[in-house]
Amino acid sequence: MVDVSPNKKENEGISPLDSLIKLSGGPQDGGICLKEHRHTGKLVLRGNPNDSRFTKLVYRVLGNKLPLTPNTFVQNKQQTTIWLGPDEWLINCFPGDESTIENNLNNSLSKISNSVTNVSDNSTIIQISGSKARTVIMKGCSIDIHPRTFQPGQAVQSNLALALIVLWQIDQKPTYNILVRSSFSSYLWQWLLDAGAEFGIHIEK
Amino acid sequence: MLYIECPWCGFRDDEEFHYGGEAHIQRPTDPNELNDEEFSEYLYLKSNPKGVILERWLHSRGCRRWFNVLRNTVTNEITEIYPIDTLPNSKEGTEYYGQNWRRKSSVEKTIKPREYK
Ligand SMILES: [Zn+2]
Repeated sequence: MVDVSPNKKENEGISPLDSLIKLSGGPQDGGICLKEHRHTGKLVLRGNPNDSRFTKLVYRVLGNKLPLTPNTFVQNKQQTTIWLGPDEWLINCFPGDESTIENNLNNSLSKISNSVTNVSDNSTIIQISGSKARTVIMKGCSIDIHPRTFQPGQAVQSNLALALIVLWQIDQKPTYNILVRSSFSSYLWQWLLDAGAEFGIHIEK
Repeated sequence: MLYIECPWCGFRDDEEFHYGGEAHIQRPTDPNELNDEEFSEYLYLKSNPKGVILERWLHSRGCRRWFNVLRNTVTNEITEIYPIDTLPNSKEGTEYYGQNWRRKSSVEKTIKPREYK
């Protein structure tokens, strides 16, 4: 996902992390950099990937193929599509774009068994990057995210410090996005501050 | 700690899973056809063998899908993992399924056998 949203809606509304992120800044050369992707649009799409009509019509709306391999995601300029299950995907898009994508999917899939659910406000996304990002995540997650087995393009659903998360790797910096329930986000943010303290933390607004 | 292979996500720690009890317990088609004893057999009686058992697991903190597992209750060794809507393939699993007391239970006499793929 592109870092800077072209859409002002990102700065509208409130987030449970607002009071914590007031304290932005910190060392530019810190081991990790934290940032919240505020109010992105999130849709859960379900359907049968063995039905070629379903995959073709979804392709036409999203402009990319649905990831059919477990624990992977695909992204283009509009949105990131993450595999959540054999018939379930999460579509993460710019704030405000979700209704358009939801309508387009509903219209083109109207004759095929499917479901599209807007879950935007259920969760928020914390981005963690930097040379120590991997080490910090490893403190609270049992998934092997060593580059040998975990690369950009891969996504997992698991626990981070006991919070239920979806984790996906964006680039080799490395940069990861962590999707977490809004109600768990301040807990997880503070856990990340604690786990990252020894490496120095930069917080981006 | 168990290290369980989700058929979709691969190997994960057991803290990501929920145990779903014994597998292949068929629900009576018409519970009213059963007397109390027969219904309690369906509802309460569970196998508790020393050795292999067929059981259901849910990858609750991952892909949230159910699947079946053949596990040895003595060694915790998992020797077969197969989809929720199928029967076991291995010799051990097929034998256990066929010989389980439930196959001869009054519940299973009253119902149409479930169709597995
Ligand atoms: Zn799974």
